[in-house]
Amino acid sequence: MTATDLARVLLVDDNQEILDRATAILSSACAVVGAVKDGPSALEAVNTLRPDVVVLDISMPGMSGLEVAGRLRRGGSTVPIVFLTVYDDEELREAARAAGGIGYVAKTMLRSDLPLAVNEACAGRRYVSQLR
Amino acid sequence: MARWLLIATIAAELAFAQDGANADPQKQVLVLYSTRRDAQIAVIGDHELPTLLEQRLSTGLDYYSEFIDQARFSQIDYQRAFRDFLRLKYEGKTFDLVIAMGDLPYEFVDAYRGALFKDAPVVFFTGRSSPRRIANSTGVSIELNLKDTIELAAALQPDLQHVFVISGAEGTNRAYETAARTEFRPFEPRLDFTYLSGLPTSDLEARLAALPERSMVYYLVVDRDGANQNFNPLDYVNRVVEVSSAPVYCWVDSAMNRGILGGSLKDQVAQARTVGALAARILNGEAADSIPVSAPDLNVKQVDWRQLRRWGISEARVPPGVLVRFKEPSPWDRYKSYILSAAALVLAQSVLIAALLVQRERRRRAETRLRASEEKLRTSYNRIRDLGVRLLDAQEGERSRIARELHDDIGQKMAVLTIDLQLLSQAAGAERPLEADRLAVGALNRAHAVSKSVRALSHQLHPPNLRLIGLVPALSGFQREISTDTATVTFSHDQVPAALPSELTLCLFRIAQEAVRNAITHGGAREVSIRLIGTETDLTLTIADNGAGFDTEARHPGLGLVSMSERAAQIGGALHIQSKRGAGTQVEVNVPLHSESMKANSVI
Repeated sequence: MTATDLARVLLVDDNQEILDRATAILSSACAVVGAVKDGPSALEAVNTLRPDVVVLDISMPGMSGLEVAGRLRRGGSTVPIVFLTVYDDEELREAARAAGGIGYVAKTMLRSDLPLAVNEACAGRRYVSQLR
Repeated sequence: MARWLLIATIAAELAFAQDGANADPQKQVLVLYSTRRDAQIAVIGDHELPTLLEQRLSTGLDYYSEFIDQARFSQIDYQRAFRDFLRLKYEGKTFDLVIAMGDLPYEFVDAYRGALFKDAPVVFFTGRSSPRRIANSTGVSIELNLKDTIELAAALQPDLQHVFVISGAEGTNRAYETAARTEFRPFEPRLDFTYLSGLPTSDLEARLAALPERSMVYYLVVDRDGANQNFNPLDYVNRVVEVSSAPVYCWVDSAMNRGILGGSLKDQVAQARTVGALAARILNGEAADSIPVSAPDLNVKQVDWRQLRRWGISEARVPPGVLVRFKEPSPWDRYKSYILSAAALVLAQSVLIAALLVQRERRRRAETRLRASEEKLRTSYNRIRDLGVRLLDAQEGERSRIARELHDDIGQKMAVLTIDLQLLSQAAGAERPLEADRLAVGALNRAHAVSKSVRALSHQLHPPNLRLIGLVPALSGFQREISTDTATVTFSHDQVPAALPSELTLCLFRIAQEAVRNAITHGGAREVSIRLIGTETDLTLTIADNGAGFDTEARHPGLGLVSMSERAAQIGGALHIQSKRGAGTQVEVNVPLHSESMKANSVI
């Protein structure tokens, strides 16, 4: 995989530290093309940047990640979405899947699971963090 | 000059004084009555004559009256003795006028004029129709009229049959009886006349007390009765009317107002004034002989209204032109204005009272409403205060629980993590890779554990995914988490709209949470079911358990129940709790679904 072939990733999270960590973690494997902190910015960035994968925090103030995903899908976008969450339960996982998420990563597992999930998403495969 | 003037003035004054004394001597007038001093003709005459003369004379009046009292003094020599008495009494006095009130005094004056009164003119009053005129005299002739009274009585008492005529035992009284018999003859035999003349008073009273039906009594005059008792004739009327069993009539108006019914009555005041008027004319200079004898009709037909009523005689029977006297106005006539005023006042007061009553009633109702609402307010206030206190307690309890959790669990874990990270740092610095690896793995695990604890605590405080995933998934998760081996919780749902207002979602979730926790914690329920059923218009959440149940009528419901009820009210719903001790509990919330608010606050 050449540098130009690196997957173009858009990061969406309201927490700057998580954005920093995720950027660092993904820097070797992907090209982080954008990092935004709220739902409306994310919708705009998807339109303008045309990323290969969107890493999307579920819980954001205002428009939640699930809502952003819903709007993207309703808007015709098929971009793979990897959800990030500090919460983890069955219903949320189900809701994320229903909203069109292909990956589901717990933030505590960011280091190990995010690159995997992004890779799998690029390949059109599902990845869900297995919490300890 | 001044001296002459003074003399002239004094002379004029003297002349005036002398002139007044000579030109204005008092007129000397003597009145002779045939009757006693207290007879009505004398009483009226002695009042009316001097009054009238004083008015009409420009000079002063020196008035005398004498009373022959013929009825009581009938001795043969009496009149001569009376003459001597008068001559002695009035010796040296020159009368300007002598008035003879009656035929006897007139004859007396005629007989003794030369001896007593020299050339004094005479005014006489006589009952004769064509009196003889003596020289230098004039008079008034008023004939006795007794029959008109009978006619009036016959009109008032149409069935009249018996007439009882009363007169005294004295000579002049008998003259009245004689006159009456003559006048009444034309009425016979239609009426039968009984002359009760000269009876002793007791006998007369006995007769009068037992008169037959259809009778009348005609009082002529009684100066003396058959028992030789003397009376004032007018006072005798009172005795008669007191005992009479039939209406009493008379011929002279002085008897009115003493209980007689009425009659054609001679006006005695007018009679005295007529005589007085003649006297004034003569005293003022007219020659007596030049004045013709007048014969006015001084009789007035009149009835006493009170006696009409007493004898049951209708006022309608009173012939036209007959004076009805002493008519007592009816209370209406007399007090018309008072009655109307009082009625108006009473009416006004009634209206006022009614208005006041209405107002009072309104105020009473308003006060009742006010008291009820005050009571409600007080109850509500007390409940809210109680709730406030309990909420503060609950808040404090929750805070202390969270603090304990943070300190005992998360705080401890963070402390160990910190120590491990310090050790890791030392090991890395000392280049002890094996130890560093071990410490790093330990720190990682511990960090995961801390994260899990925080997540669990956060989850307890507020279900974070409620906002994200909606009511049905949240309730599913809650059902799964709270279900244990000892308490089975089930959740079923049907036709729940995908999008619900966030406020409604949170309230229903909290109610379900509270009801299920109550069922398990307080009710000891082994089975709890949560049902959420939607229709087009509303949503019904039902939580039923098989626990111990409780008394729904408890005076102070638990904070849980209150909060459920308040939450239901907050979203426009109604909370119904059915529970019995030992028979489980069913909590049901029904909330209307308003499409407007759902759109406004919808989740997802």
